[in-house]
Amino acid sequence: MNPTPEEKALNFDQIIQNSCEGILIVDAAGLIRFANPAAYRLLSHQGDLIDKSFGQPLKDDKAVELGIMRLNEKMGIGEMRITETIWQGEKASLVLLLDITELKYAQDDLQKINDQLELRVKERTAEILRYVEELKGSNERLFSANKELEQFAYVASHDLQEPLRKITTYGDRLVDYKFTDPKYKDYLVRMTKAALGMSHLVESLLEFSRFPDELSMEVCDLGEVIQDVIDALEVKIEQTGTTVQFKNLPKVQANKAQMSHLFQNLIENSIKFTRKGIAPLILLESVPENDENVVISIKDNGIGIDEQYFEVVFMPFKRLHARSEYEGAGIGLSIVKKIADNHKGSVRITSVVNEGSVFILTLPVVRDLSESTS
Amino acid sequence: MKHEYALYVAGKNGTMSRKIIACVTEYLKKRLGNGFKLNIIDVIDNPETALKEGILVTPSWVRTSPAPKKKIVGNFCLEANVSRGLDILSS
Repeated sequence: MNPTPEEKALNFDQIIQNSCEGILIVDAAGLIRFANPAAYRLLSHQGDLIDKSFGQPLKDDKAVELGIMRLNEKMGIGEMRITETIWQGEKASLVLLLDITELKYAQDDLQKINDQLELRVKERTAEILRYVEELKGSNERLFSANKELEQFAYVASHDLQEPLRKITTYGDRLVDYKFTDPKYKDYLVRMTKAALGMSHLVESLLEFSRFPDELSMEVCDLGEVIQDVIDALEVKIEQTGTTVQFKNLPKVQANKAQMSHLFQNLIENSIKFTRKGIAPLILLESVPENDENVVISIKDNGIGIDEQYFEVVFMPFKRLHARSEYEGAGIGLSIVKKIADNHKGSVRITSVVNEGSVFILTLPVVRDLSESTS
Repeated sequence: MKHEYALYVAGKNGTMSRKIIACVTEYLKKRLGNGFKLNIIDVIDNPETALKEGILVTPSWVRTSPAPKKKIVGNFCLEANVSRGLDILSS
């Protein structure tokens, strides 16, 4: 059933009265002729809006943003849309007003937060860039300082060898001299021994500083490298009753001489630090890791070291034991580390005291073996 | 006889208000040369003035002289709108 005209009028009236959009009829003179409750709320003026001057609305295709005057309150923000209409037989404007104050302020707040965030990100980025620059600078300084230091160590150790050689040479000649008191001979022997000890130290220093950073790389079969090392250490291995086993060793892109040096140092280290009465057993094998690296473990059954020394052992001239107990200058493992670093690899140790140590050597994988070997 | 206008804006230093003021001033100069006076009234600085004059929304553009007073509201950022607005105020 269709609604009656009375019902229709009632419905429209209800829509207008309950609309949350402000509805105004403004005549050609700009006076308000009709305002719904939402319009009263929006304009929040005391008293009657009827016949008050709104101003003639300028027809616009788009919604117009307006400031809304409010009594004793912050200005509101509204959106106005205008349609031409007829009111009591005269041309008039139908003005629809939507309150967008809160929306607008929320947007402004959001914009402000965004701006602040952007500013902060910019500040932080600038800060980080500054740090990066600083870091670059100090890195360069460190690099050149390191170079100089290596150069200095080389020159110093080289020049120190000469006078030491003289001391030991002349000391040796004096040994046959008939001293009036045997204690003088004892002094001489001690002096020569000390000079010899210092000479070894200087030699080690020389060796440590001699390793260049830029290496000629080739494909090395680590199995072959280690077999060569075992052959070179044959006498020592036999004397100490050492067993060296190796299996599944990969090929790596490396400097062969340095690789050989690295494994010789590691094996010698294991032979040196053995427990009394236990024959040294050294096991070398590759451990599956990932596509980026090859990992080789070097396991022994020696004295082991305490966890607190895991990093210290790789520093040059660090000795954990008295020279009388275990000979050496304390340079071997620092050379191992240096060679690993030179190859963009790493070395670390895990160990249990009185059970043994495992050295874990990581080296970058050979990218294209077939091309390098052909 | 000089035409006198009042332009009510909210916050005369706001982006929108500055645009409106520039647009209206330029157009009045174009049409009337020096034969006009334009008072800019910031309703945030002078809410009492605005309320006393019966301003309900901004921007409101009022011809204060010659009488009778006429008032229009709308978007005065566009020259076409300002032109139509001035036609209404002058009629």
